[in-house]
Amino acid sequence: MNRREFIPLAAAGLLTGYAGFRGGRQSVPRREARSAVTLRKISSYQDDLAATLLEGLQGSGLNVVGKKVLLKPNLAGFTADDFTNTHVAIVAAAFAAFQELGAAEVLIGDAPALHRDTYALAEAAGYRDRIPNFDDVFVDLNGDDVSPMEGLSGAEIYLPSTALRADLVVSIAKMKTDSTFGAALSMTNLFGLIPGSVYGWANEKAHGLGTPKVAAELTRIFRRSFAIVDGVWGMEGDGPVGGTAKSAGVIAMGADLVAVDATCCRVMGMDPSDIEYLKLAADRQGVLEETRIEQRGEAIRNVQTTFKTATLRTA
Amino acid sequence: MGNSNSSLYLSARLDKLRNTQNADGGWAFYARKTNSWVEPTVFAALALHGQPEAQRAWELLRGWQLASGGWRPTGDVPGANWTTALAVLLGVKVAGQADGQVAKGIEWLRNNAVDGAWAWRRGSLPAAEPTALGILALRSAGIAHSAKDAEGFLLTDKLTPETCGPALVGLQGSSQIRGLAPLAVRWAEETCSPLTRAWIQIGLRVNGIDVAESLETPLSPNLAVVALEALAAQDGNHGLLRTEAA
Repeated sequence: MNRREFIPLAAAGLLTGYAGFRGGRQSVPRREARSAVTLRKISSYQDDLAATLLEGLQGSGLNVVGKKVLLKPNLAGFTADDFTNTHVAIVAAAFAAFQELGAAEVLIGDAPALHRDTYALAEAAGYRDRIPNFDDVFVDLNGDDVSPMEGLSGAEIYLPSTALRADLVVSIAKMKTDSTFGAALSMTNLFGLIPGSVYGWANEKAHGLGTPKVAAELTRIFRRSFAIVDGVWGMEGDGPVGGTAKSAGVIAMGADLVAVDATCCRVMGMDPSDIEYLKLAADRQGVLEETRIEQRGEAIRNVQTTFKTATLRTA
Repeated sequence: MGNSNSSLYLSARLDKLRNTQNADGGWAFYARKTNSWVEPTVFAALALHGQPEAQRAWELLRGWQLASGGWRPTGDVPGANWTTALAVLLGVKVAGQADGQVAKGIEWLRNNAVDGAWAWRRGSLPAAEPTALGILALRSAGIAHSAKDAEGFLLTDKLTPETCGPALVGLQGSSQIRGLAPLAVRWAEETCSPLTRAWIQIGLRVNGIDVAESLETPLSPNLAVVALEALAAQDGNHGLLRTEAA
């Protein structure tokens, strides 16, 4: 067996595990559904982000009173720049907002794909300085306890217990174009829930398990989720780490990750139906069509700015 | 012997490891977690080599070997992955390469190499760190593994600060190590990752290259990092990772 033959086998085993999972969130028929996405203009990370997020969360009808919430940012590089990682100001504001909304527990966790030292990543991104009691609320999901998800065929996928135990997983993604997927938003941010301790890092997480199907399956597994996309500053070109800064001056929010990501694509001047993982998830995990998305806050045309596309990598 | 600051640096890490060993004999990545994993367990046991804690750790890992000879990364996860190389390494150091389980692990490593390199797990592409650890495990058992393919794989322009340390360990004795050393030293000084720094320090030391210690580094919450820092310390057990060149 050669190297190329190994990959489909691995992905097939993983998906078999997901497909049979029965312990997840309720299945909602989506074909006739409409979803709401809130867009807020934000000019700078010095704005009152907590109030903005609180307003958006309250407007979404989210009830987190007494719930366990896991905030899942995108930690992609050892840098404090504004466009590589989910900005600490957004994470700190979300942390405060969910506490304000009455969550029993708010944790922050990530299993970065490209670097092994998760705490150093978080520290470089300014999280340790800006988030109160950081060491008590942060979970390195690459080193978390893991739990199996049973599949009908007996195949299993192991995911961090902290994420599986959460009542709500909040994908706090960065608005980026991406060399593998076209766009990296709240759905692909869920790759950061795959534990490196079991599946490895770098090329394995980025290119082995990192397929559109797996992005769609993770969205199904973590159905009880919410998306916040940090587009105050995003990344254009060869993301998720090789691109350049691009300001969209916007935050997108919503309970339907597909709808939020589709809206972000439109903000970035991209057609969401060109994005494979969004097509796979449409009508299963959420809504893709613009006509079925109730746009709240700013209209897309008011915040639209064309992102330079990524050079797509061939498998 | 190192100075008193150096001794304090090492003893703080060894104490942390002793105080966080799980009842089953292993270590979790974080003290507040319950599951022991091969990776922090092996690094901690090597740091404490020769002490009862290391023997208990090996006894735990004995029970995690699969029929294939590979090791599960933690007690509850059934498939073998790259941490088999670490389990073999500890087995060689504690039980010797003649031990039946160690021998089976070595066979697993040989069977799972692709063009002289290893992947994070069966079904994925070869990667630098699993390859470096695979070479280290085999050489520790006195088994020659041609570094020819691996050198090309590890010492390309894709070498990063994070893969540099494991590469230096895996490619001990390579003629290219001396040329790489200045870059490695610079990366060790510049990195904000204690994990990366510890690996590079170990890599330089096993190649006989002296390296400054980072005695001000606070204890990491990650126990694998704590253990690697203990191994990397001037008086640490980094010599256990020294091998003969292929």
